[in-house]
Order: sequence, then C-alpha cells, then structure tokens
Amino acid sequence: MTTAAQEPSGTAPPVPGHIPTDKAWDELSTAEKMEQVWADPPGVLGWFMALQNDRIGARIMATAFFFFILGGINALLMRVQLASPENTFLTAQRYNELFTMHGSTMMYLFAVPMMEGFAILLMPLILGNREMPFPRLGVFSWFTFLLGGLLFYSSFIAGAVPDTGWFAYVPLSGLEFSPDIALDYWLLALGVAEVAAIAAGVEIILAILRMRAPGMSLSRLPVYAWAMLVMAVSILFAFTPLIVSSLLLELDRRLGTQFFNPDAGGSPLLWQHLFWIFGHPEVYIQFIPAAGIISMVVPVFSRRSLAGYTWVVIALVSTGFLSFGLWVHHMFTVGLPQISMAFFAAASMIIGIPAGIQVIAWITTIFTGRPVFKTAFLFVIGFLVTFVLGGITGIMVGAVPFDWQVHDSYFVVAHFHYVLIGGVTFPVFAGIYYWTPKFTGRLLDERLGKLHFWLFFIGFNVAFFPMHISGLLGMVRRVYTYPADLGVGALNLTSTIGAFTIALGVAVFIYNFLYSRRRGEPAGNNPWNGDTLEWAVGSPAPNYGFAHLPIVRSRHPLWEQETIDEEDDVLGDTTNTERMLQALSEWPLRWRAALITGAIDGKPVEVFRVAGPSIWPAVAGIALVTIFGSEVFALHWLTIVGIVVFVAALIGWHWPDKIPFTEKERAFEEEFNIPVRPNGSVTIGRWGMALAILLLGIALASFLFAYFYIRLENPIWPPDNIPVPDLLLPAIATALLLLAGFVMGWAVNNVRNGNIPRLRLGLLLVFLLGAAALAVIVWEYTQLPFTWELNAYASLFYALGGYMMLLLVVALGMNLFVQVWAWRGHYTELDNAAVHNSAWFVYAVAVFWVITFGILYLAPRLT
Amino acid sequence: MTIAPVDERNNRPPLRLVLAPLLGPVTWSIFFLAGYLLAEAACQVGLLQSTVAGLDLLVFVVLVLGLVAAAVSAAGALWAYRRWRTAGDQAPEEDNLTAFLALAAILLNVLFTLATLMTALGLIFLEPCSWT
Repeated sequence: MTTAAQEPSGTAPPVPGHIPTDKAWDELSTAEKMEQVWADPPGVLGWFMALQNDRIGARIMATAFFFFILGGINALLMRVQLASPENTFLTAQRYNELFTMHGSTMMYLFAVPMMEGFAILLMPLILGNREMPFPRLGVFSWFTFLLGGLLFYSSFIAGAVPDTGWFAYVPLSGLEFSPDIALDYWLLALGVAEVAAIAAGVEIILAILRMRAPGMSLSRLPVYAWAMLVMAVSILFAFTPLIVSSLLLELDRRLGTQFFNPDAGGSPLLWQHLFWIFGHPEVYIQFIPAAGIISMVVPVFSRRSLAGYTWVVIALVSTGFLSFGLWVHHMFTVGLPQISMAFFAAASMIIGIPAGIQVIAWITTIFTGRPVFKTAFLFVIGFLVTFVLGGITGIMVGAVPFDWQVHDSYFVVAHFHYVLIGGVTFPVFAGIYYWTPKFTGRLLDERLGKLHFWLFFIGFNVAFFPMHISGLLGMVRRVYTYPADLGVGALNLTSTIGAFTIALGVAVFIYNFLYSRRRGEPAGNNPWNGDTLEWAVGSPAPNYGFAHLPIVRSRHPLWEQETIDEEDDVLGDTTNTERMLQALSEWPLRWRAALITGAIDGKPVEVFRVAGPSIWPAVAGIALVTIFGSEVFALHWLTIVGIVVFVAALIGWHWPDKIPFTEKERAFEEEFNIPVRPNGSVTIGRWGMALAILLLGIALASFLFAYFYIRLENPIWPPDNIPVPDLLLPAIATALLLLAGFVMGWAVNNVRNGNIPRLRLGLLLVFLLGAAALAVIVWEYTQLPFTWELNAYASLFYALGGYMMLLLVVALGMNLFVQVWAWRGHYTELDNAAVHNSAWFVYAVAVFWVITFGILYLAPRLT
Repeated sequence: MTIAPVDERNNRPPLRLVLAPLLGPVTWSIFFLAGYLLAEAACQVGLLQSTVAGLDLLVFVVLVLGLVAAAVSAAGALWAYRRWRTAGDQAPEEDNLTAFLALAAILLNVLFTLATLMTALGLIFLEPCSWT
C-alpha cells in the first residue's frame, strides 16, 4: 500500500469514541489508534452514547436474561399455587395476572430479544466485519426494549397488572371486561418493545446481506447467519401485524372504534387472526435462531462439518415461509369451515419436514463425528431429546380431532414448553457456554456447567412431562386451581418439584457466570477449535473486531484455510482484494471504516463510515417509551412532549456530520477501484429505506386484511345506510400525489446531473403538492357523514385514512429535512443518497395511497 | 488444500437463479392465502356457490389454483435441476454459487410442490363449508 495508507502525524484527529490514554496520538500503534477510533466514549454520558455491537448485544442479552428471571419467578409462584388441589396461596385474580405476565415476558421480553442480542453481539465477528450497519439503531432498540419492559412490569406498582393471557383475546381484553389500565399496559408497553424488536431485525438483515467478509458468498454463509436472516425477516412480517392489531384494540378501548365489536359489524375473531398471524411465526422466530446456534455448536463439538449444509439452509428458509401458514391451528375450536381447517392442518403437518431434516442433519453429524461432551454440547443433546418430543406432540395437536380433545388442557402446556424450553432455552444456554469465552476472555467452569445442565434437564422433564398426563386426565389451563377428585394432585406436586429444580439449575448458572467471568480459565483465541471467523480474533474481541478483514474461501475458514488474509494459496501473488484489505488495516484511522460486500457473491463493493456515538438514539428511545407510557395514563400533554422530543432526537440522530472527501479517499478509490464513502453508505441507506418501505407495506397489508375480514362479516357494504363515499376529493388527492411522485423523479434526475437549483425547486414543489394532497384528504374526512364510532366500517375507514395521513406527514417531514440540506449546499451529483431515499419514500406513499383509494373509494362501488 | 480465488469461482449468478429458490415458497404462499380467503368468502358470504363437473365451484376453483401452483413449483424444480446438472460438476457447492443456488431451488421447489398438493388434498375429502 502506498499513498492512501499514510496517516497524518501531529495532534490526535477528532476520534468519535476517544478513550483517555497517557500516550500522544503519534506514539500509538496502528492497533491502538484503531482501538481509539472504535471505542465507546467514557463517562456517564458515554454510557448513554455507547454503540459498540458487543456492548449493545451484551446489554440486550443481559436485559433479556433479567426478564427471564422475572418470568421464571412468576412461574414458580404459579407452581406453588398448583402444588396441591384447591390451594389458596394465590387468588384467582393474582393467578391470572401471573400467567399473563409469565407468558408475555417469556414471549416478548426474553426469547426474541435474547436471540437478537446474540445476533448483534456475534454477527460482525462471525461475518468477518467490524460493526453492525446501523449501530445507532441498536442503541435505540436497547433503550426502547429495556424501558418498555420496565414500563410493563411497573404495572405491579400501579396495581393494574394485565390478566388476560399473553394473547389478550377480545372481548375479555376490551373495555367492557377490562376497564382499568392493565390492558393498556399490555398493549402499549409491549408495543414499544415490539418496535425495538423490529429495529434490531432491520439491522440484522442488513448486516447479514451486505456486511460480510470478502468471499463469503451465500454458499459459504455460516448456518447461524442463515438462521438469523430468516428470523429477522420473519420479525418484520410477524411483529408488524401485531403492532397494527394492538393499535386497533387500543383504539377500541380509548376512542370507541368498533373493530372487535360484533354488535357494530366488528369481529372478535379478527383479533385472533391478527394476533396469531404474529403468534405462530413468533414460535419459529424463536426456534429458527436456536436451530442456528445448534448448527454452529454441533459441528465444532463433533469435530466435523455439518452434514447436509444446503438441506439445513433450505429447511430454515422453508420453515420461515411455512410458519406463516399455521396461524389458524390455534383457532381450531372457534368454529371454522372444514376447508379452512384442512388448509392449516396440512401446513402444520408439512412443517415437520424441515424440522425433521435438521434433526437428521444434526444426528448424522454427531454420529459420524467424534463428539466432545463439554457443557455446550450437553445442552445440544438436551435440546435434541426435548425438542423432538415437543415436535411429536406438535404434530399431534396439528390434527384437528386430537386438538379438539386436548385444546386448553395441560397437554398443550406440556407441548409448547417442550418446544420453547427444549427448542429455545436449551440452545440459548448452549450458545452462552460456547460463545461467552469470546467476550469475557474466560471459560465458564465446566463442573458447574454440567451441574447446571443436569439440574436443568432433569428439572425440566420432571416439571413438564407429567403435564401431558394431567392434561389428558382433564386438567385445564389458565385456571388457578383444580379439584382434588380430578386425581392430578401428585402429578402437579411433581411438576412443582421439577420447576424448583430448574430454578436451582439457573441459580448455578448465574453463580458460574459471575465466578468464571473473573476467575475462569483464560480462553485464548479459539478454545473449542471452532471453524468460523469469530474464533480468529482475540478473546475478548477488540472493539474493531478485525483490524485486517479476512478473506473467506471455505465454509470452515479456520479449519480449511491456511490463512484468512489471502484469496488463494499461491505464494507471491497478491490480488487487488488482498492489497485493499491490507490497506484498510492501516487506513483510515480517523473514522470507523467498514466494508460493504455483494449480497449474493460477497465481493467488496464499498468502503464506508459506520456511524459513531451519539446521544440522540438514547434520547429517541426514551422519548418513544415516554409517548407510549404517558398514553397508558392518558397524559396527553406528556405524549405531545414525547413526540416533540422524539422528532428532535430523530433530527439530531440523522444530522449530517460531514467528513471532507480528501485526496486520501480519492487515492484509495483509484488504487483499489472501490468507492469510499466517509459520509455514510449509499448501499446501506438504500437497503434501509427499502426495508422501511417494506415494513410500512406490511402494516398497510395488515389494515387491508382487517378491512376485508370485516367486509366478509358484513353482507351489506357500506353497512347502516352509509352512502358510498364521494370520489371527487380523493381523486384530486390521488392526482396530486402522483404528480408529486413525478416531480420527485425530476428532482432526482437533476441532482444526478449536478443541477442543484432544479433539485431545490423540485423538492419545494413536491412539498407543496404533498401538503395540498394532505389538506384535501383531511378536508374530505371532515366532510364525512359518519364518525369512527358508528360501526366497524367507519372505524376502518378512519384507520386506513389516518394511516395514510400519518405517512404523508412523515414524507413531508423527510422532504423538509432534505430541503434544508439542499439549500445549505449539502448535495452534489456524487453525494445525494438522502435525496434518493426520500424520493423512494414519496413513491411508496403515492403507491400506498392509490391502493387505499382503490379499496376505500372504488371497491364499494364494485360489490 | 488448494482453493481457487474467489473472483474465479463465485461469479455472480443470474438474477433468475437467485430468485429460483423462492419460486415454490412464494407460489405456495399466494395459493395458500388465495385459497383460504376464497374459502372464507364462499362460506361466509356465499361466493362461488354453484357446481362445475359435479364439484362445488369453490372446490373446483381452489383445486385448479392448487394444481397451477404445484405445476409452477414443479417447473421451477425442473428448471433448477437442469442448471444444477450443468453447474454441479464444476466444483463443490460451497465454492460454486450457481450449483448451490440450483440445488437450493430444486429442494425448495420440490418441498413446496408437495406442500401445495398436500394443502389442496383436503378439498377432495371434506365438505368445504361444513362448519364445526
């Protein structure tokens, strides 16, 4: 490397995360300079600004584990109550609260965040890069998750604990039967935690698709990354309908809409559909990454590669798709046409195929390998035994006639705990024992680990196996006690003993973790002889991950490659990629450089600056939780304050901090024929916007699903003699928005050609057209001859229109932001990614409006 | 073990091969959703209430949709198989992106052909709008 690698001497450059040191900048080695550049800032403020992926990942995991303990305490209290028949340890009301909090905690606050924490912690190292693509989004995600979870648990302090189960079925969760704020806690606190899950999901998708080591094509992607990719995509498709359905229920409770009121054309079953469209994939959102962990641990401890890599990958992908075709199997007893149940029963059976493929691949790997029975591997064995049992009972309850017999019995409780503890918690512990040394630098104690495993494994089976029998004998779920003559007292006492044995196992684990973190055996770089890239760096891993980014030529780079710095084994011949990565290990040292690679082939396509520490993501997270939290108590003034702070934080978050594009960047580009983006990645920005639009599209689809479902429930449409809405005003709005789209395209073309005055003019016109369209739509709504309270049709009319108005406001805000920077001369023909992104948003809003216009205004004329 | 350079082995495959693995899953998803919504529409508001060739119109329509969807997935599998035959001999899958994608396309399309047929199978045996 020649020109580009030379760093200027003299005083320390403005390093975002600079940590105190006695040495002058010039005296630091390259590695030390890199550590400075990638470090989180010190001090209390630095704690709020910290965004290193290992720190954020660890925080998310620690928070998820904290909620796991809380959820476990809920369970233990329930088990004490059920230890004997007709027990009075808990009241029925308290029991309802505890099973609601237990289920909600484990499903929303433990399993999914734990998996996302794993991904954020591990993914850059496993993929051979330096950071996640949107580290600030990770900070935002953690603050919203932590505070959302705490808000949820503050319901105990407020004396209004949710008590309608983790599924919150209406009408039980409606205002009539849940008049206090307990359900508002459930809807709003968990809603904000769901936003956190989606934010982390977006980051994980982009990291896996665009931030891999050179050479890591899709055919060499670690199975764990495949699993996390499927999980993160599923999160977008599953959590968004849940947020929409939660919003609809909150509107029913607070504003008197009628989505779920059958007396006004609504349907309680709509809630069940929307909830389970989320709820069933949610199980696989937890299981798929767990399977990914298993596929990483099994080969390393079997000392051979995973059998059937491609088969396992397609099993993960097909599970992701099939999991969205199972939701009605939770509703087999509500009364459905046979054909509907047949569809979902078939899908419930078929999903056993990909699960079976993976189990066969793991067993084959173990039996043809030379297993080493360390604690991590013991948890894999525990997983295989319990998950297969849970899978078999899953196929059983997928059969409609059997489901009718055991629905809402303890048989189902046993089944899903075998799937969720067996299929998720065992792999989580396997992953913790496997990867902890990489981040603490010390091995967890094996003796304590094995004690933990056996207590957990035996306790689990003692607790949950008897539930199969008590369920078949007629013990029903969600009831705080049972009569003595049911004959299940001994079985329940056994289950309670098992539950406390599990708790003892978890206590041993906590002690082991705390003890080994300080006094454990030093791990070294690769204590297990692992095959993937994370084991190539030191333990604990440095802030920057890889100083010299690796080159991947195998699925098992540490087993099969002599070096991870070269594209081939031919001595004396350096390729462009090798030279570029060598140069990147020495330059730049003023900003956080990471590499973008091709989504399919893993070839380098861009060097870019990863965002540095900022206080604004934390402020945005706190503000968002404030918005949701204040609405629990109907403190609307605080909601408005929260919104103002949230918008200000978003602006501060995205405020450009430009680094000049100097000769050094230009020299690097020319020497290695790769774009250098010191002001952020065009690719990542574009993909991020595409995912944001996808999310908004899924939300629109959820609203439309609700619309069509309610339509089918109402033979006359619009009902209650409501006239078909007039076309004139919405048609004008449609024309204005389409025109705005065309003008935006014209503005984009002009900035591409460097014509900034025309860009400014175009942006201004787009704003005016968008504002005019918004004004027309708002006016149209003020003229409607009905309010949202009239019936479900009216509620849906306002909900869809309100959603579109919100999108328009966001588009106008984005336009204003871009306009300000256009007038300040920020954009050039080469540096205009934000203009493109705002353009795509305008196009998306125009298309969404055309769809909404067709559904609300044209369709009723056709039916 | 000598492995050839990345640039020579992993040439970017054509877009249709990248998308081929998703053909079966997406086709099944569309069929599944369309079939379910048609069934709801027929059984809730009386859509598709006549008969064709002795079959309920609903059953006939959904069966035809299912057969078309299965045919599309099967065709995707066949197309991928041909790609895999030509690409599969050149290098192991992990070094041969084309062969990997082709094999993934075969497996996923076959699986979802079966899934589509199995989903449609119930139509032959059940009374579609019989409520339980």
